[in-house]
Amino acid sequence: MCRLLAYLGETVPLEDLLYASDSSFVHQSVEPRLMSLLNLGGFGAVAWDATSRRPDRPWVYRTPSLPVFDRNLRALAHKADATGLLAHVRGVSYDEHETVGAQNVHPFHFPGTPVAMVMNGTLDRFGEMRYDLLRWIGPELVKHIEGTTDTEWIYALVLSGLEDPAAPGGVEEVALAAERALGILRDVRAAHGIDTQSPVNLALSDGNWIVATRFTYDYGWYQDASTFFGGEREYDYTTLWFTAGSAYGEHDGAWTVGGGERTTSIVLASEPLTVDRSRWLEVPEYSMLVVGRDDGELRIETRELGL
Amino acid sequence: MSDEALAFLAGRPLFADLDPETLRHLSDLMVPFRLEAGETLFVEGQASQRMYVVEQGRLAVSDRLPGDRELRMGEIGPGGILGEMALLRGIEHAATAVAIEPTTGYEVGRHALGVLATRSDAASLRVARLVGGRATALLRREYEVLRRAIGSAPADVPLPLGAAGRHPGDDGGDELSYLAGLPFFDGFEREDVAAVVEGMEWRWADRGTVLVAEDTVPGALLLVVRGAVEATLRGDGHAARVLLAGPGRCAAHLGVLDDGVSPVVCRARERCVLVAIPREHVRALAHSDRPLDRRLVRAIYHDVVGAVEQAQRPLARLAASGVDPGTLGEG
Repeated sequence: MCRLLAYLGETVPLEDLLYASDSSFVHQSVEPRLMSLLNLGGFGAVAWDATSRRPDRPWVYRTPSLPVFDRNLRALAHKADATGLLAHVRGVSYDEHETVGAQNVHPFHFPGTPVAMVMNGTLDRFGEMRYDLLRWIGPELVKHIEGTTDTEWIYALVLSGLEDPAAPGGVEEVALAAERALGILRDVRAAHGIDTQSPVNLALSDGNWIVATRFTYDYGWYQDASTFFGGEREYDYTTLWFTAGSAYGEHDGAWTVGGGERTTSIVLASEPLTVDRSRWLEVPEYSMLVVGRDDGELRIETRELGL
Repeated sequence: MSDEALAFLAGRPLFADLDPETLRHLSDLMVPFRLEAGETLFVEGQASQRMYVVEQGRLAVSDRLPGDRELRMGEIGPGGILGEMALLRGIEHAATAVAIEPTTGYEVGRHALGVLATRSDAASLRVARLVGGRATALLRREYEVLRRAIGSAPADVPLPLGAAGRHPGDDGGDELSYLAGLPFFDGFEREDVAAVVEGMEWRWADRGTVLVAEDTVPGALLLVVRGAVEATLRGDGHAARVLLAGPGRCAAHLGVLDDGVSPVVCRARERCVLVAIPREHVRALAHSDRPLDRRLVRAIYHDVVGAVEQAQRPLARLAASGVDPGTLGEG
């Protein structure tokens, strides 16, 4: 299991999002508060800066190393700003069968599309169903799959639901494609008789919008009581939180979004970036969060996923 | 503690039904507190450590929201009680309480029930029942506030759900060990769990199955063993899920634990294996002196507090999205 972070809004120093708060995203790699495993499988980020040259192109940073020891990341975050961000610390089970390497680090961002994606989740018995997905994934996308993670396949599946992955029609088209992908995965799981708990918390963005899901297949059907979800107790439904307001920063000693009439910034994360969770809201279970821009303000909508 | 303070506590409705011995045991554990106007009693998000009983003065209770916004929950005056659910379960404060005039009262630590139990288990149980009953009342009130916010008239809002998944089949036979590891049975030995569920009905439900209809009296408290049950409020074209009960959590509290009807529809969000604890059995537990029944009562009330915590989430979301969820009355 992993931790994800998505941001959309006013220009913010990357350091503020990744390092500044008392339960910062980078710190969550070694001390997450709402899950029991450490996230030791690598760090990655794509970030957009609307004020930069070629604002439609994000810079990308992916490493299988631990971010808490990464001086390059710290230096970069100290310098760079962002108006949009997807970041991820990868968690894998403590098992020699896991493949830890650069090819499996999120976010996934295929050449030729502006859409990037991260996931906090895992599809149980993915190896049994992986190649059934080829039926729905176009060959021009399959050729970009390099790693072994379920996330990269789900990413390709979502992109395949877009009329033109190189030029998506906007947030609504991506939201539909994400829901379609979840429906295909449900059908393929059923065809293989896979009916154990499998969370699929996705976050997609192109720097202008965010689509995110908090969704779990077969919630409450642990593989075994002693396995990960059975042991999570309070947080056995994989978490997703957000906070939204004006500019993110330090306000009266607290790292949070600011007040005011207009909602111009949103931070979305597997768990709050602060120990104090009172300024954060949980995304409801079985739902999709759709964040778009409307006349300079963010429009945030929660939709039930009836899958 | 002074006789004056003991008399004050005896006059509070929450404690009115306690026998003198239980009240004396409880009051022995209570210490006075005093706040000046503007001072904070507790802050939302902090671990809840104490129950407070206000003697004089007034406190404002508010819920912090993203974007530096605030939801005013109400005011608490003389006789008001705060933080009582901490006695049943380790939780975080769901709101911030600030004195708006000089305020005095008495407080008791969250481990009071455990301390009481070392002196008198019966007294500890009586207090647990009182606080549990109050948590049940709070749960009903939270649902009422939400229902007003989404539209008071129950409406036939469809609850879309895909086709039913594979039926769970007859896998109830070896469930006992698994059951003993669930949160509901924290602290229970395996043989205790066997005794609790002995003779109770095991149920299997497909996805989408309605288990409790709105405005009916549920026949049983539903303990989820596998899968998940959701409780949803419906009204005026909107629906709000107020509870998602996964393994080791219960659904259908209201109408079983109190005398009303269920304001929510409960249905299987995933295919489920459930243990149905009959309503009559739950009600009888309140009068039982059996040690195992006492533990079961505590487990049920512990679960109610979790349901209250979940009910408070959509309330905050509604407020954050600009919908006025109304003002909660004094607790």
